[in-house]
Amino acid sequence: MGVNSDFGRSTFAAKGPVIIGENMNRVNAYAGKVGGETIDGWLAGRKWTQPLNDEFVATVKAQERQIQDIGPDFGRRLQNRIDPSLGRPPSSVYGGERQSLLDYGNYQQLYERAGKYQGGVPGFDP
Amino acid sequence: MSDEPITSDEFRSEVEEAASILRQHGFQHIPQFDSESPTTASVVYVGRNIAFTFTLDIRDQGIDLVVTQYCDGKLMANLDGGYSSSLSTHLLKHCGFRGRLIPSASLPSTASKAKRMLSALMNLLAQPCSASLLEDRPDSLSQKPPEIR
Repeated sequence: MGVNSDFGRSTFAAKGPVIIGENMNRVNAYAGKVGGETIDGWLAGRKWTQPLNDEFVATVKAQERQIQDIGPDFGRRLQNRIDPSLGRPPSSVYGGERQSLLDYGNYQQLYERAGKYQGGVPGFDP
Repeated sequence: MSDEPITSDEFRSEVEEAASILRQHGFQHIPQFDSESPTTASVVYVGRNIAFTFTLDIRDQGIDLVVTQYCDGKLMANLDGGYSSSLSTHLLKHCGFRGRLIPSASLPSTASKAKRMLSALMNLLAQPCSASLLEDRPDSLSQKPPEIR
């Protein structure tokens, strides 16, 4: 399936900014509050896979959609540093998205970074 | 230990088993607050003032426990003027808890990834610094717990 796929596109293309970030619970929560969209809307019920994630990023780039990045889940990363049984290492999926968007013009960074384990979206992240 | 990806069904089943400590403290599972998407699943337990949300991030295969203010039948997250934080971040900020937890000795070495993660979270909830959360008072999210000696 290529980036011209119509799957989920009719409803996906008409709405607000596309939200990306680390930890999809966090991404969906933020998108729900600001009227944004996430990969979940684009998947339209399909099971998530890494190739579909790659296709999602390619699609939003091809559509020249505004992408808002809420950044790393700093709390999760810090917890992983303290106790790996509770946290998670930096997400390779999110890292891949960031890599794919390095040359993308319609990208907006919403998060602040104060250190390796400190930062987040003001007013949203604790 | 199984390295099979955690599915939404497995997550829900394991949460039901792991959340007994919440039920013992009067928290109830409210299915209407649960959610499911291609990349996430959540199970919500609420008390009078506080809600605990178990979350599964399918992409990163992470399970977390989020503590949120609960008011007038609504979950009040940060952007709603309430409070929401992962349990570990909450305990770190409110009582400086940085302890490295020991997985439950009762877990067999073959225990699934989901069971091990949930066991670690429930151990965190059993720490003295979590007591004020389980007491479910209106000020539980802001009050600093007693100093641990």
